[in-house]
Amino acid sequence: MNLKQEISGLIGADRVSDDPGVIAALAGDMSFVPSRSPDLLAKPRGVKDIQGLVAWANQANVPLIPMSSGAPHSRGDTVPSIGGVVVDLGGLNRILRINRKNRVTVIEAGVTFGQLIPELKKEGLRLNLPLSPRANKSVLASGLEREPVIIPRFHWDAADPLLCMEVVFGTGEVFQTGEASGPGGLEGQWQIGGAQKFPLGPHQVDYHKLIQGSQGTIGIVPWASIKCELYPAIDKLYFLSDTRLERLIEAAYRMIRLDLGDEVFLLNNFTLASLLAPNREGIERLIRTLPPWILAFTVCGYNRHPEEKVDYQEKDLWDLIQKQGMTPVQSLGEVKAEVLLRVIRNASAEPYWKLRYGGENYELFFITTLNRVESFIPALREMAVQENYPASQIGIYIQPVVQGTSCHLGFDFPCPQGDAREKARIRGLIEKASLAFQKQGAWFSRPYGSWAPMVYSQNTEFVSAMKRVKGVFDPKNILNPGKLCF
Amino acid sequence: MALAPHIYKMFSNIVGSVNISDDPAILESYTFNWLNEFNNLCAPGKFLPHRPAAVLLPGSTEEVQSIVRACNRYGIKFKALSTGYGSHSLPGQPGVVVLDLRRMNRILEIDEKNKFAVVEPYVTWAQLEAEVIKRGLFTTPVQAGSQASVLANLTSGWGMNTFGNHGGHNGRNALGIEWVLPTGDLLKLGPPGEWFTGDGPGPSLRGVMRGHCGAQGGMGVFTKGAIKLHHWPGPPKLETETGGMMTAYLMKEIPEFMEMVIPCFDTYEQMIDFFYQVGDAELAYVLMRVGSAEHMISLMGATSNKDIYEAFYATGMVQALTEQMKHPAVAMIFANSRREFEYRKKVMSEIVQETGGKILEVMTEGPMKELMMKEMPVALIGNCTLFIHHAGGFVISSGYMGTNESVVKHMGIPQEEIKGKWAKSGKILDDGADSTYHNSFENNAYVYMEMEFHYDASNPESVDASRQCITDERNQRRLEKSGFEPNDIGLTCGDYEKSPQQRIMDMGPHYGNFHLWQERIKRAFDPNDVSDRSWYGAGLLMKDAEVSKK
Amino acid sequence: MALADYKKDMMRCVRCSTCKFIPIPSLLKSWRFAQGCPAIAKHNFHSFSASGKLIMALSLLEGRIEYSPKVMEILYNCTLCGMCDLSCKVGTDQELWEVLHEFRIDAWQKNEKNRFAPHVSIVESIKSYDNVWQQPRRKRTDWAKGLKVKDLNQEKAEVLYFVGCTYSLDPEMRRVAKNTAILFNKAGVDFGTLGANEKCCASPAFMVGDEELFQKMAIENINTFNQLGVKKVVTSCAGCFGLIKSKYPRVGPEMKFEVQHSIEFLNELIKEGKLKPSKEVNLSITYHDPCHLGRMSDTRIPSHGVEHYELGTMPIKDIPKVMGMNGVYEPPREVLKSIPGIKLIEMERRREYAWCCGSGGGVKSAFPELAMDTVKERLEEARATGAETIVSCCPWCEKNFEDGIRDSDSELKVVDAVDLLIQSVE
Repeated sequence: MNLKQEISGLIGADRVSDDPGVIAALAGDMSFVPSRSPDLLAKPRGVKDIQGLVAWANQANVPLIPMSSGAPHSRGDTVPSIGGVVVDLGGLNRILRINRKNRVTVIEAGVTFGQLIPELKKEGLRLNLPLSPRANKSVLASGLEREPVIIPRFHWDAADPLLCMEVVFGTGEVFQTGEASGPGGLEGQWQIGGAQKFPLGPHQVDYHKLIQGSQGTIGIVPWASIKCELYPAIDKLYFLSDTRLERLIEAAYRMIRLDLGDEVFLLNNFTLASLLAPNREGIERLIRTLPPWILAFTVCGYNRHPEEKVDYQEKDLWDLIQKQGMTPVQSLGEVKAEVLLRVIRNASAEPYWKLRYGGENYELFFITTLNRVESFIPALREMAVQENYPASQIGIYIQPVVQGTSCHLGFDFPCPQGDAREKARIRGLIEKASLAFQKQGAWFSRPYGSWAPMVYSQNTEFVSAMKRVKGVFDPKNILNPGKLCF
Repeated sequence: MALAPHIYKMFSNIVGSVNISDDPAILESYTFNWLNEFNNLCAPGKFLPHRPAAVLLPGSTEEVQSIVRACNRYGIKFKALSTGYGSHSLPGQPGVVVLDLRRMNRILEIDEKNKFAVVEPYVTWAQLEAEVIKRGLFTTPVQAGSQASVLANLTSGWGMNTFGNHGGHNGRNALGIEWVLPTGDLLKLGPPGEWFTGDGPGPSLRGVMRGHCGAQGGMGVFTKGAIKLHHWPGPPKLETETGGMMTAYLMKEIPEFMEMVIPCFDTYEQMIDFFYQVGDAELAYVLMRVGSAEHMISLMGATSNKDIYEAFYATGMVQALTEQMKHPAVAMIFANSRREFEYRKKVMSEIVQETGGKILEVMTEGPMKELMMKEMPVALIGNCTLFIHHAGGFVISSGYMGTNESVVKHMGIPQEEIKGKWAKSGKILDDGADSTYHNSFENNAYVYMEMEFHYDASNPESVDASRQCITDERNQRRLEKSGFEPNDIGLTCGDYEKSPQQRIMDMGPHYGNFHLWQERIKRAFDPNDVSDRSWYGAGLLMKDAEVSKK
Repeated sequence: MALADYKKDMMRCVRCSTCKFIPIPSLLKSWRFAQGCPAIAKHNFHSFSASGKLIMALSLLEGRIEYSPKVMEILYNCTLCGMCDLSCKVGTDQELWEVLHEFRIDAWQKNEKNRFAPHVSIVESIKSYDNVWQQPRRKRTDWAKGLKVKDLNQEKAEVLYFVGCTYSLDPEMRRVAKNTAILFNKAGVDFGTLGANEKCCASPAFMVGDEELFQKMAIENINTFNQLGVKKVVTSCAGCFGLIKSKYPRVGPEMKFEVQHSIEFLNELIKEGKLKPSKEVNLSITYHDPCHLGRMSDTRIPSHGVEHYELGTMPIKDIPKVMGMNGVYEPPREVLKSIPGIKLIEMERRREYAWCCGSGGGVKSAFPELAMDTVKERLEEARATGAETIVSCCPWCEKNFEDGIRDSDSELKVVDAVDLLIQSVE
């Protein structure tokens, strides 16, 4: 019996594909990770199928590469290292529960931002979203990847908004984490008022934190609960702009400290233009009208006296900001605040905003603190000049996270589609900058692709400890081998 | 079990001869603790059965590492503690070397801009609070008291914090952590030399660090750690004075933008509704339900039991209050501006009204309200653990973490029905109320609930009655009745008829066999089984075959 | 009366570590000066804290350990300053200090062979010479030569000035008694002393646990004072004051006189206009509250475990709970503030939660290292205020400060409050 027959026997022939076109599409992505074909694509129907696949893979010693989002993928984490079966959870796309009272949703792995955002809105809820995510991006995967989210105030812990989950570990055993653990299953727990909100445990291990950030190397997650926030009754977006980033960073510090404002993030003009304009020309035209740095923030009112809530926040914010000699505005030239507000409250329109300028995009991002951001940016621009990459075409996104204790600093490098030379140049630049920034204290907390060896060579004790964890949950290294340090 | 002389000498060489002792007079104080009378089934009393083999006072991470490595080499078990409050701070096996981390007590950094502080194990909440409040920041002191270790709460214990509704759960407030693993290897969570995060690269090993209940000494030694701080909307100095009615100390002045409301509800449903509404509106820094008028008074401490009794009980005041305070919530508002303050007060008042809350007459205005406003912050910010021990002992039964709705449904039958019989026996404190305590976190994202009993630790009959009362409660609220196994996801309190490990062993199967996973992790991280596992998982009761069984 | 009377207090200890720090709710002002207990601050093992000693006592009572040199070392490495007692009582009715003291009584009786030689020597000195310094009784009057001081053995006066062993016999300390007498005379106070017949207050005996000697001396002294018919017994020694005011009431005989520290009395004289500090004394100072003038002067009657329950298990002690709030805190400050030119800067730990100087409880004689470490901690706290001079009202504190300053090259000066007052009044 060949591989396809075996898997078909497990989950049904219609859920398995070795179509060359399908396989080729899975063999590489928009990253520098070398292309390598999987042997098969399998689309399990639920946890039992996943369990069957994992049990089989353990026996057959065949790698499984979990995947939930639609293409294009961009970080190499779903590109097989040594072949195997891509386990596509995209078909698990049920929203299992939206619970307004407890501000939470439970979703399957294939539920996308495009699908979930409007459904939540109907119930008066919203997600603490990443910055305009791809519409076909899995919400659960985004949580598993610790993708930065745009409302720092609600980002209590790096794990947010991902809460509890079900997981099939690499051993094939099923487990539920946090409050989802325990008798009754999801529905039984709902019946008695449970809502899978408390993420820690059970007992003395935080399983969710071991699964999160693991690029599918610890377990496969069929469903998870995601923390939601109220959808505002009134919301206004404001811009602060300046030629000096430091002034905007100071303003961001002040508003985050006082819990004023909901969404708070900083962009350069290239990123703002990319979010708003539909194509390269539009972006280029828009950039010329924009100041170099923009701090965008929202002021929201909810179900109780929203106008009054907005009013006091605005007044307090204005007091704060005007002390710095700045004034918030609702338009930057032709850019209207409400347009950006729509953008950040929704999944990205097509094409995905990062792809609008070049057709391809490559990323450099890490965690640092707001007051260190400025030590990286001039250095990167200098390196870009050395590598003949136009510094003006680098998108910069600064996202305060975990209630402002640190921030995500992301650089986007658009690249003309299919331009191998340019891609190589960008790769050289990103790798050089990554090494330099790591030395400078940048924390590559999500080590995709070539960052993994770079980071792990500097954190040998972490590697040793993480290998122990891997040995417990996936001793045969069935799940996504070749990623991270496994 | 004494250490061999050469082993003693080896440890002595590491920490210095004045920082090691195996004298019984020293060891005894590492054998005695709160809750021992419940957790000590084989030898009832205040002393656990196993004296440590020695107590060491390491002064640095390097010394801790050396001790732990030596323990691995010679197969000696170790257990670290800091301020050490509760049975779980103590060794539960013979021959354990205790590491008292008292000498590691520095605040290493306060990053005002990025709102975190880095501390060593013996820095207390009060010490940290004193330093950060000067910088306009505040902490989230554990209810075990502000004399307790910050780092222990981040990593090793499960205690809740009163300011959780605004400040979050301390298990989620940890950032970078330095950790001597059970093997003696040093693991730094987060960037080398930096503290702003403890997650990654890739998965977060904070996952192995604590879980819901804290490592309780079973997973090596935590030597440094960063904690997230929050903005403090009050004055940079908390000036206090003596002369409170219920507390020895009270605030000289009520902070300008501070308000406390104590709405009381006729039904749990109303009270829960209040919690949800206040949570949605992000109004409160403190949001909790206190168990009774007695509990509230005890929270604020007392000039003496005599004074409490004479002022509040003999006058019938508590009884009257208890009648009014069937389900009392305490919400504390702070604000950064007059505008914010007025908005919050207005919405709070609206919610109280909508949800059927009745504000205690004494709390509407006048001297009593002023006194409460001056005393309560001292009690809550200072968070003196001793307030709850005024009957000479305090114990909880089930501790449950979930939604407000679920924790109440879990109760099923009113607490006073269970507790009443025992309270009437005169063997536990008859405070006339159900003594169920709720503490809300992250704007009511989830709450912690526990049932509290006051007993007299010096009276074996009282201890025994408390144990039986808790057993009664657990029997009535077991899985088949409530849908939850009391104790929920792993508090190692409650069900004092069993050993701590047996409690976990019995709970495991109801909760995805977490005890097996935890044991596998324990074995992976502690191959020589030297980090005293008495309060970690249930491995002492497991056989190898069971651990690997799927 | 026995150690076992306090078994309930021992069993109710929750080992929470509160007794190691100054009372926590909001009094604490910095990381640096958060410690409350000198013994645990130096020795670190939990046994050295008050909780640790309660546990050790329970262990002894339950026969788990026996008296040993280590037990004695732990028990006596403690200045009995009472800070732990205050910290614990912020939240409980627990007796800590009484247990520590009762423990010493027990140890003194049952473990004679392990008594510390300096303590034995001091007790013997009291027995032989009625003073702690092994000095002939007649020398007690040397300090008063040339001064107008009534001899109350011969004549009557309203006030007995109880000079104390150190102020009358230590050549370096006599000036305080002298200055005090000068000020009394200036104010027209009708006072006198017992001269060579003054007997030690027995504080050292009380502190080391020689209950028999303490009782004997205390009763003798009370009877003597009563017989004199004085309205007030005034002393400049905080040690004598704390003992007479706070501990003498427990020995039995009615005390038909008011007990005051001279600083309280001088403060009254200033307020009455009988003393007028007028000359400027340009000095920045900080004031150290001696334990026995402060929290340990609040009258303490031991409960001996007597209590009853209300509400089932709420223990009600039948004696008032004493935390030390009623110590003498304002009078010395008022005296100092009355002196023109004086700038008083407070230390972080002050009043009822002041850090001990390290001298008391028999520590200075038997454990000089603990005394030295403790005083250096206080000197550091004083230095942090920026003051030039540390002021106290206790000979034991002053002597230990002097030793600490000598040993640490500190530039601080130490004086008694009366030294400053006399400069301003003269």
